Amino acid sequence: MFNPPVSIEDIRPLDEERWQGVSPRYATQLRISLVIYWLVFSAVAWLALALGTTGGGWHWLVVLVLAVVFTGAIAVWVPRRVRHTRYLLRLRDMHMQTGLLWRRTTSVAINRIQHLEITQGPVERLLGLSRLVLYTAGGMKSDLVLPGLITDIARRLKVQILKTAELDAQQDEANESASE
Amino acid sequence: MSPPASEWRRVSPLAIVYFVFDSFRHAINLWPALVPLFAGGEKFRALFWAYGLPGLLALFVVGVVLHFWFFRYKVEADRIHLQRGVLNRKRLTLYFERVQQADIAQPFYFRPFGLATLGLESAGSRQQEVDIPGLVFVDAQALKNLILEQRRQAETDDGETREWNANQPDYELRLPWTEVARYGLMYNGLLLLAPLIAPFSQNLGPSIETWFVALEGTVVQRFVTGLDENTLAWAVALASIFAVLMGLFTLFVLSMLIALVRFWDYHLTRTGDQYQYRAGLGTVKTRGFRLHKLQQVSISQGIVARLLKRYSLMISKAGGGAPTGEVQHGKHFLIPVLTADGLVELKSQLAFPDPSWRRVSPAYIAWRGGVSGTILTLILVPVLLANEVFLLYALLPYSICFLLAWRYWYCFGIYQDSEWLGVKTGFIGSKVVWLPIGKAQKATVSEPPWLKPWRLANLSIWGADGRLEMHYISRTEAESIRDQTLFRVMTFRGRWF
Repeated sequence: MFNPPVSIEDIRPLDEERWQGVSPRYATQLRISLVIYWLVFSAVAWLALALGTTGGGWHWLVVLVLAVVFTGAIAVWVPRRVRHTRYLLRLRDMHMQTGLLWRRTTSVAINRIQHLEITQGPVERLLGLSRLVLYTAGGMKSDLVLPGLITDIARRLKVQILKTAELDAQQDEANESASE
Repeated sequence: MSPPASEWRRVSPLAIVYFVFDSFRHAINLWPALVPLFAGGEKFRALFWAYGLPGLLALFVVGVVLHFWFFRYKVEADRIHLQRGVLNRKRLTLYFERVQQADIAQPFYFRPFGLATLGLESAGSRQQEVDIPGLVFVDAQALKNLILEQRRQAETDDGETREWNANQPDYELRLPWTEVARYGLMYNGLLLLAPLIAPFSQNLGPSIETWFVALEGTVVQRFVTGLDENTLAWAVALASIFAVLMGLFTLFVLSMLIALVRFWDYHLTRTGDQYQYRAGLGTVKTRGFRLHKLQQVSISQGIVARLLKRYSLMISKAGGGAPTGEVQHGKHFLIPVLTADGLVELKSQLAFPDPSWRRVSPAYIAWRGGVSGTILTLILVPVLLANEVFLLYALLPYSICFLLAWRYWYCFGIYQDSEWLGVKTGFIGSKVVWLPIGKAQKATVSEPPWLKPWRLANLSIWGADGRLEMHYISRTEAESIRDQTLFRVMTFRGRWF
């Protein structure tokens, strides 16, 4: 059986690896989501405006503040978010990195993945995007959610990860029966 | 026994009643949405009564019927599949061997029709609880028996039998009742009831005064007569303090009694890699686990425990956050009270390292003390200004917050070797959490903007039963611990769950 020795020195630091970016269409998805959020948050103010229940101009102020915040997010945050969301799939582990100002790197070993799924919301379906969701036994919710993937790439990643996980499981079984 | 169904099935239409109650339970959580009703003015309220309420009711009814329509289940030999949800559709597979508890409930609206609800609780990657309402009672019972039979089988295969086997153990520990009672003092869950009782305490003073008045004309009156009002007020105050102390005393006595009922005649043994304990006064419970199932170990010592020089050790043997109640007890293996010597002995049994704790960066003190101090000062300044008090007092919170932050930093320690990751936290008491490095599930290195200038980062390592937080460590160290953990996980061969 092909079973080369592994040492931690052989594993390259993450910074030296070639990370993959997500699809630029992810920016459109984020923008549409932000607009929806903006509309929802403004709804109360719009409602008060339409019904004319209040005398002051506070609802206009709320709508204005929300508009400034969301426009800022759409213009500044979205492009940066998309540029700095990237992933790295290696044979034995998967990593995801988000943010530049607040950088967060999440790592999962493939042999700890319990199950994985591809999900698609209505906006994502419209744009041909998908999310790859990995679950391990840790935490109460999904452990790694990789957004903004072209659906075909998400499927290929899923197949690749499942293949590795299956090989791992087979090797574990072989080891166990050898030790018994 | 054959499963009652093998294709997708709907439950009885009478289950709609169950969905009505269930949806109502969920709808209650939406009460904050009613706030605009009070704030929105007369016109808004009139519109709400005319259109909003009927609309919501119609939505509720349609939602309930759709929930029933989309709820389906399929039973296979070793698992059950459930499909539910209207907009957010969920498909869940529950393996029988992972089911922790299976209960049948017959609510009043099912009873005349011979129907029942089967409730299943599972511990897998996430805590899952599902109800299958509207099953024919006999089918529900058959399904429950099938599930429990399979689970029993799985437990026997895993050596997790509930049968007590204490023949010539390699290690054993017995707790006399005096030790078990100490657990009641160390962890008094009843103290949580104190805030609930607090509203009644305002009646305490008046009742004591009434009681003093009632003494008039009795023998005691002789002692009370002649006391001036001031002394009487002191007497009432002292009596109130005495009543509160008696209340606390009662809570501690009750807590000790509960501990004695739970852990009476506690007997822990290790035979090979199998640990078991047996304890209990009314119901004798036996719990066990094999070493390969160990996911996390917590050793804690609260304030009372520190005074008593005792520790508690909790071993998590399965995953899924921190649910409450019976399920939690089922997943955790508890050694309630340990002396320092007992702890050393048990740690050597579990092959724990003798850790040399590393401190994290002192930036911890600067940030935590600085932020909390600033918040408190900002609150304090207007108060001081309003009362024309010397403004420099506003700086007082800083010294207190820095002192507290220093103490937390002083007690905070991290440890890592090739087998274990450990984090130590505390203030007066202490808690040490150990994670076998090969059983880590995921790792996150987070670099918030305020840590970047110092090249610091926070590292979180998730196990199957919670996570270890290593805050304010250098970025290089965080990445190194993460990489070594992942490497150990990748090369970990063998059963881990």
